[in-house]
Amino acid sequence: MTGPVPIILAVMLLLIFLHRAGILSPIENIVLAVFSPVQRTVYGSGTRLNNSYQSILMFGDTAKENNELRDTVRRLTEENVQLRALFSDQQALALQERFLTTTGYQYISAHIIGKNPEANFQAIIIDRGGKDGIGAGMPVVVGAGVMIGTILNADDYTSQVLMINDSRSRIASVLENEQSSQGVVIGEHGLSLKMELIPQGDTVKIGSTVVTSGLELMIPRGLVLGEVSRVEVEPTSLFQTAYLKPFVKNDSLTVVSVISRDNDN
Amino acid sequence: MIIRIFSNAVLILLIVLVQVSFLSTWPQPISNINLLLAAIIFVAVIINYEQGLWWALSGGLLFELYSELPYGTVALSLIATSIITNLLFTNFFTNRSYYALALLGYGATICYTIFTFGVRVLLVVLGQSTTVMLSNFSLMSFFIWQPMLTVAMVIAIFFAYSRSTSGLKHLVFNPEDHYEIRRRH
Repeated sequence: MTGPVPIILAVMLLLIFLHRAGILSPIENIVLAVFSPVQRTVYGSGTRLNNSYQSILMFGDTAKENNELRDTVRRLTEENVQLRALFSDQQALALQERFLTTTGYQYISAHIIGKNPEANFQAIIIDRGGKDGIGAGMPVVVGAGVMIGTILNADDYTSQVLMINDSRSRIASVLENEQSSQGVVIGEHGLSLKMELIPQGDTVKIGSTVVTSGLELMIPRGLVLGEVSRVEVEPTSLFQTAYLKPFVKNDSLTVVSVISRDNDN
Repeated sequence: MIIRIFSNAVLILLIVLVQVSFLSTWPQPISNINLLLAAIIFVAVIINYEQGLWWALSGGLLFELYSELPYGTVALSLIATSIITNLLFTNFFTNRSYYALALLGYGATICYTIFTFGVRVLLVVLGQSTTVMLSNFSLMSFFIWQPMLTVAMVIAIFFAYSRSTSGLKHLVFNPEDHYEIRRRH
């Protein structure tokens, strides 16, 4: 050992002794205290840099994982939509069945399988037809007795339902007011409904419910058509017109019930 | 002279800070890089052996503050590593090529690892510590990653030093001691 080695070793041994004796402790503590803020900053920078680096490294894996997760989400979304649709169908059917069972109507449940493609023709296609006992003129309801249309024509296995908001639809109806005003509910170009032939002197309140009158052979009384949203009164006319807001949106329907026979009442 | 001592002290301080607070935050094997050892090897081999010894002492003592080993272990290991490196450098790797520098770096790291690990084993044998102290032993880390990365660091420091401004060199080292520069001129 030549050069400064003996001196360095001597210094080293002296420092070890001083450390053991606790003499160096104050100096060591000061050094640590002074360095501490700098170290915190350096450590923070190191951690951030490391995290960024790890993020970059994981980018490839993340992209792959992201694709897999996207596929999973897509699959689950599809399943979810199917399940929601099924649940919605079940709920709608349950509601319809409850109503129809309570009222004693004979009915045929059906799924909507399409819409008539012709323009300005508000008609849906259902998956039940003449073989199931469906015939023209039968009322089609959803939920707790909300009428949405009548059977326009029935093939063996499918039927077309003319929606009540179609301009060709005419339903004998009654307004739930003091006079139980009679009238006819007519479709308004697929957009809304209006009730015509309400006697001029009858009271028509906004929000009043309009139901079927039962005057038609196949349509029982009491099926809900809509509620009054606006009233049009012309002083020179014998009748007044009530504009109705339907209770259901046709676009959201999936299952319907066709009332095939009125109850004995 | 005083400025040079102060500059050296600041440099050692920075290296220890980077080692303790920056490199330690990275995952293996980056955290295996022993920057202080790489710097000491570089100084001892390339710059000046005596200066390398003082670096080993001062850097080691500073490192002791953050080490779980008994006080003096790191400093003494670094000093011993410097001495062995110098012996190898003057007696065996006399052609002074990059390969020699790399091999010296590898050998020095292994020496340092053996010294520090030897102390751990000794502590366990003497009953001063439990075997937990040996739990981080990894052949891959001790004989592959740490030496390789330290060698890479030595080479990087050498290139950085070669290309750095002469002012900085003068501030920290005595360029007259630099055999490489002497050889070039």
